[in-house]
Amino acid sequence: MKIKLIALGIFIYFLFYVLSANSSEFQPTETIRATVNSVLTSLEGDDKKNPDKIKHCRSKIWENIKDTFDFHEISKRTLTRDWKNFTPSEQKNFSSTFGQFLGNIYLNKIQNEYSNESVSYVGEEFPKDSYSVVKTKIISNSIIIPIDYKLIKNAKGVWKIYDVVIEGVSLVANYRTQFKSILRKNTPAQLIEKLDQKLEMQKIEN
Amino acid sequence: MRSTQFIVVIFIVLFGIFPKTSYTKNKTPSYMETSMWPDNFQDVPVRITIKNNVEWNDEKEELHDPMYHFNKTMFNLNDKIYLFVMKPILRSYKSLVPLPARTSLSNFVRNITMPVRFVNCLLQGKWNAAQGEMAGFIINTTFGIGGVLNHTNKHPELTPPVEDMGQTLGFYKLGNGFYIVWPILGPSTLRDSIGLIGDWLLNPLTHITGDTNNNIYFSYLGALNDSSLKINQYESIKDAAFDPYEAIRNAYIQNRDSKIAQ
Repeated sequence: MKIKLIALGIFIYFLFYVLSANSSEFQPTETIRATVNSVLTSLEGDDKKNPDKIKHCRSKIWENIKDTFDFHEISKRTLTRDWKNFTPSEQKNFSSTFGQFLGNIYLNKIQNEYSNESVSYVGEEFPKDSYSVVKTKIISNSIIIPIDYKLIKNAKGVWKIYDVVIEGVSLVANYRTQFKSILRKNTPAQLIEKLDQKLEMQKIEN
Repeated sequence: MRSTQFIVVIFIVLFGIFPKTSYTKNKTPSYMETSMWPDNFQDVPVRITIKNNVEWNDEKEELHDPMYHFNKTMFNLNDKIYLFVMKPILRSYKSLVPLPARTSLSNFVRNITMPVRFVNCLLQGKWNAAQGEMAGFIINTTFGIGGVLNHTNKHPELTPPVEDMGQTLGFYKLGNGFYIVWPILGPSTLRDSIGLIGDWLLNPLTHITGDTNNNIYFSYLGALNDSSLKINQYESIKDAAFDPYEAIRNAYIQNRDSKIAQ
């Protein structure tokens, strides 16, 4: 009886092992790779002279990547202790505005400056359960730029990005210091207002 | 000989003077607020400091900035210099000098400045990186026509992360001191500024011609050339910032800390 139980245990263990090995496409590196590849394919079809096409390409890229980011998590980590001072509706408002804001920066950057850089995946770490860091390098001409993506696994088992670290500079930590000093003198509502203004400015620039 | 003595003196003086940690501490200790935070809220990798036997998750505090008003003035000045002088120069440089030439110059400068990185690897006891630097230098100098071609950039072991004197000082637990914005040179800290002097002395380009001015011009050319090859980080941070001064200061210090931790 006991041996049967142990055998069953081993069988179940291997079953899970095989299953988890098969679901590799949901692993952090694969998540990043799929996102990056979708961006690169969209960019190849980008015609820099045709404004309509640029717009189309832009919205296509955004549709493809926005679900890879966890903007709620990003906002929470950016505001840390101040997050509790936001009402639930302010929190929601902030997450979506901040998400759009970050998305615009990213899209501007990549549409204006991308020129056949190649991306290499140099490592994947799991510092803690449900947390992962995917290390990549962007190689362009003779310059190498390390970019690390920090991911968190949500309740559904999907990996989502909560921070991007470029040359050792964490995006979340960079905004954290700025928002902290804004919130020292302003209310959450005023911060959201500032964010909205920035967003409007981005729209005018395009 | 005199420059080596100078570096040794700098080391001795520094270790006597500098405090080991120079982050300004949070006024309300964060451990008092930890109960507010669910466990999974902490950032990973978790940075834990033991203080009064209480473990607390230390969000990295801002760097000490006693020269704020001077720094901010310099920051604004540099911003204008960048916008009205450097950027136009960079633009015409980019259109005048073809990409292969710029890449070659960048390779040449990287190769000839090997001693700076090599010595700093040694000073930090990074033997493998030092070997990699030396091997890369030999390969590129011989097969790469004096370093103009880079044969090693596809081999990570032959292109170890760049080490400089500021990182070496940081490796020996020397704190940042405080934040300084130099005219033209840009953001730095007390420690990294002293590191710059050491690197300047170790740099073969410093000694390439007898004339200091020529050497400085050549260094500017090297810096200009490198920025012509790079995606512009300064502008991206500035455009995306709510407070550009604070954003750049934070980015500088994060970047340096990550390099020292490597």
